[in-house]
Amino acid sequence: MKRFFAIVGMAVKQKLRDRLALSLALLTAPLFVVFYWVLFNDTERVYRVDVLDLCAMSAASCQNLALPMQSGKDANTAHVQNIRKALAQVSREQGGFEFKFNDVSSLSEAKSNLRKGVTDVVVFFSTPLITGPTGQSGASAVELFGDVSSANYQFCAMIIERVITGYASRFQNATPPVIFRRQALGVSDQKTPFEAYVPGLLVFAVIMLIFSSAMSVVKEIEAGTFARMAMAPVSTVQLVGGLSLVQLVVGILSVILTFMTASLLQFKSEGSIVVAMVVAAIACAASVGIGMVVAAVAKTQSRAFLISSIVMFLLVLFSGIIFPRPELTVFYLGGHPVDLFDVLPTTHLGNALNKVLSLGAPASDVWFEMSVLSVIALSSFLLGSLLFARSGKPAATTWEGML
Amino acid sequence: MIDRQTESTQAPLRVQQISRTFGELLAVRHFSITIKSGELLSLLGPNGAGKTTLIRMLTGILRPDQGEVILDDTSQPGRREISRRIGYCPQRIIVWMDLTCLEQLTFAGELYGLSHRDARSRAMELLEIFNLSPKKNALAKTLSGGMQRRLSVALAMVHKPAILVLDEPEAGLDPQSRVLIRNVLHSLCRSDNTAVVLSTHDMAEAELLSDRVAIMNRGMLLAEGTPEALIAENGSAYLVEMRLTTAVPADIERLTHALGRLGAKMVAKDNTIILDSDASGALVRPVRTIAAAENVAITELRHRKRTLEDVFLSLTAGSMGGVAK
Repeated sequence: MKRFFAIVGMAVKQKLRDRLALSLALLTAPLFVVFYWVLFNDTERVYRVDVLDLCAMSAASCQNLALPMQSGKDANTAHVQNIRKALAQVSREQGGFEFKFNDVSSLSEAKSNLRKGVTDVVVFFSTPLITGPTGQSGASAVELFGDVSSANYQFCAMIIERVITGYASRFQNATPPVIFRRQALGVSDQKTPFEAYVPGLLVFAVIMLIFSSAMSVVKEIEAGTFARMAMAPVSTVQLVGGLSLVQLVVGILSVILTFMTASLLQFKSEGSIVVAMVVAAIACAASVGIGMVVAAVAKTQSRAFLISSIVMFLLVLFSGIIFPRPELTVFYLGGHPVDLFDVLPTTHLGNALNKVLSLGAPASDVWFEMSVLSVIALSSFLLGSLLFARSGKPAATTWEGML
Repeated sequence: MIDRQTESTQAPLRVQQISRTFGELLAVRHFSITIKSGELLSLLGPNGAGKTTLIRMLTGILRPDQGEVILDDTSQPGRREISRRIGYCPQRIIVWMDLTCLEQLTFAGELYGLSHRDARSRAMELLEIFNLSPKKNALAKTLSGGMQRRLSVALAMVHKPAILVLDEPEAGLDPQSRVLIRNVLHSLCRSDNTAVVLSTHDMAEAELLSDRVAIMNRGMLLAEGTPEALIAENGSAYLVEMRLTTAVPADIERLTHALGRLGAKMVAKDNTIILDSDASGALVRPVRTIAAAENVAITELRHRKRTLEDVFLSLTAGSMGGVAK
């Protein structure tokens, strides 16, 4: 027993002396709790709803409307407006979410918005909502477009169907008063659970590179070989770049193998696999860059493992690929809202892979994600190089050491 | 004793009044020294004397807080200049464990700007010099500690530096490897006119190999010169060394007090007392008598020539728990 306590004592002393590792182990989870509380406690989930009202655009579409006092067009527009108000009322009553409506003028525009990920659901009133005077029979049809594998779409569709049904039942006695047709975007309704998981698995394959790249560089630091290379007349960019490139190639090969394996197992992609692979390759570069930053901070393999784990949690929890994330728009760039969590590569990787693989989006629809991933890759690589230049190079000015 | 050539007047590396602190610790203070081409300079000092800090400043790894490092007449040289001119072999073995000997020497050469062919040729040359040719295709992790150490030294030499700095390269080496490294360093100085700075604890090695020795303690330069000059300047040419059965401080103190009556300069450390003597060894008899009178048993008593180690012990006695009288 004495020996046992001696070992415990030794372990406690060592643990207390590695303050960074101890602090990270103790404080990470509580800090995440605080972070989540700050972000989610007083914020509402915003669901974006595109509304396409054919009657509002063309009176001819409403010719069968049998209301005597108003033109068909105006009456239908009023009904649609009332439904918006009813949806807003529901969100106020239930709390925790709100709807943001956007009028679109064509189905192609609406579908484009879905593919770009700027809307969660499209409500398409292809016929007048109320087909006859109060008490008359006759069901109308409403189409709900979206990615059926998306939780946001499912939630929106459920609330919208309930509200429209309740509203329409006040005017017409058909059962049901409205027939809803859920229209899947791309192949989202045909995806097996396996196919639905593939984009997420790819995201994990890519962010695992943070571990491998950080660990491989830290291994060099611990062995002293990094310092040996740094003694030679090479710049930090050359040094970090050379080590990163190998990791990047490994990551890209892993992505290609993952795609090939998925394809062999009957994974069907709605969009171009090549575009998806290009996105994943850029995301690999971002992961390797983040790995370099982790290595520069960690310096030892045990710390690198701990810090990489925390970074991975951050990338998964706040990217929206598993849990919903609040919208915290910091500024607008070319009309595109830039969110606080846009600094996380997983956000863009998940979005882009989903758009391409599930919704069949072309390369032009994922340019934003590719651009942001490229910026993250470049900036994290430069940050890693700068940190190495400051801490790991022989005495020389930082920029001289770096370049 | 290795023959020494005429001292070169070339001084590719000079440090002037350099100091470096770490928090409260003044690791190196106002240290000045000149390192000349074709010369082997040994840095001696007890653990914690500041040797490694000084070496790290010489090689540009650390920047001095005060003073300047002058490389080829350039004060505070840039990193690239230091890299090109100085080769550094750190205290610990630093090799790429998953590369073969040939691969890593070739790679190191390429880092220093050699073409692949030249780097490979240089690697083969170094493998030959360090007697590692039979192991050229062996992974470093499969080599013995001594071979890894030789490889580590070879890596510091791939770019034929004008100044080679080695921090305790003999640590963990077998006698054959020590001789091999000694011969390599000697050849570098004499044939290639390379300046070699060597930090070591091996006094015999330093005395045998060095053109000049610098003894430092507590960050300061205590003495500098050729081994012969240092021996001549720091006491008599002969000593009486007595080894006692006891290491009890009170006994040692009592005996050193009694021996003080002889008027000879004396150093005591652990169970050993060393007194300055003359060539005749006349001091041996009274020393034995005093020890007997003080009831302290002697296990060994000998009259011998003063060595560099004696100079070192006498200069650094305070920090090593010894007493200089």
